[in-house]
Amino acid sequence: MNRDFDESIILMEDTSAAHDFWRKKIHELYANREKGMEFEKEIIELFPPFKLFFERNEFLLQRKHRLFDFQEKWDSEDGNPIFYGYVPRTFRAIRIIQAPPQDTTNQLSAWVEKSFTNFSEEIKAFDATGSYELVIYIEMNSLTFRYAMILIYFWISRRAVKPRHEELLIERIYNTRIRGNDSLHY
Amino acid sequence: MVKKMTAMQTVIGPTHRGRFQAQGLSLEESEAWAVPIPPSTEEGEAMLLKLESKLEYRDAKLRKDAFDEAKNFIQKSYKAGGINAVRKKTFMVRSTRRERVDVEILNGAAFHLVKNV
Repeated sequence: MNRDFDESIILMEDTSAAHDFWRKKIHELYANREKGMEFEKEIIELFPPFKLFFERNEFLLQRKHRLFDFQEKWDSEDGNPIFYGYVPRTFRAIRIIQAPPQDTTNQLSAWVEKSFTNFSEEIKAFDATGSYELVIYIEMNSLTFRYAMILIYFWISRRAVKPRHEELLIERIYNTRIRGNDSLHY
Repeated sequence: MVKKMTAMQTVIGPTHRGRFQAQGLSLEESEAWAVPIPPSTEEGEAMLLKLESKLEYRDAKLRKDAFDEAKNFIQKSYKAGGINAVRKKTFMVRSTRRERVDVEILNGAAFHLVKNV
């Protein structure tokens, strides 16, 4: 069994539990520097030029910083999305779509896009106009979860991480860690 | 006077906005609505069909299941009383990095009725 999550999270038997799981795991990234350094090491292995990038731009988050959880924007029916949140410190949104595994293949898709809303109803104190969001589609297993967390970590860690940087990492992770014989040429 | 007209236009202008999108590594097609009456399920499905017909055969075939899921979403929304909030649903093509069909309700409501008279 995976030590990060149990079978009920994978199968989405309780979508509220799955939703809370994602919020907790993302917020843990704010303060768990041991995990953060482990992720940065792997990111550098995947894309060596990011070593200098990490040296020049420091990690910005602390436990006291907020993570907005848009309660009205996640869907308890089908997990599409299972979590929709915003990190005001680094001006970043995250939308996670989770589905129960259909087979044993690794299913992790991701991209960055401009947020379709400015979240003005949910976060009146912050101006999120023009923010970008990392979108993740995941069918959970230990490998897809690990790389989803690495993508989230990188995305929220520094304002200096631009959408093009995140896309580089997504491409590298997808092509070298996720893509299998079953994957399509897209 | 100018201000008054602008306010008036706002009142009578389209209040229900949204779009269907087919996106991917090298694809970005959409079918949008901006109307004074919320789109019905029939109109929603017609827009989805129009979007599908805009795509090349290969892109449409790849997204067949995603389009079916988007259609099911319209029907499920109708059965639940329609959509009254800003919402985005993404229907993925499995085993791809980013090929998908999106449904965005950007303002107002949608899919309350089967047919608008």
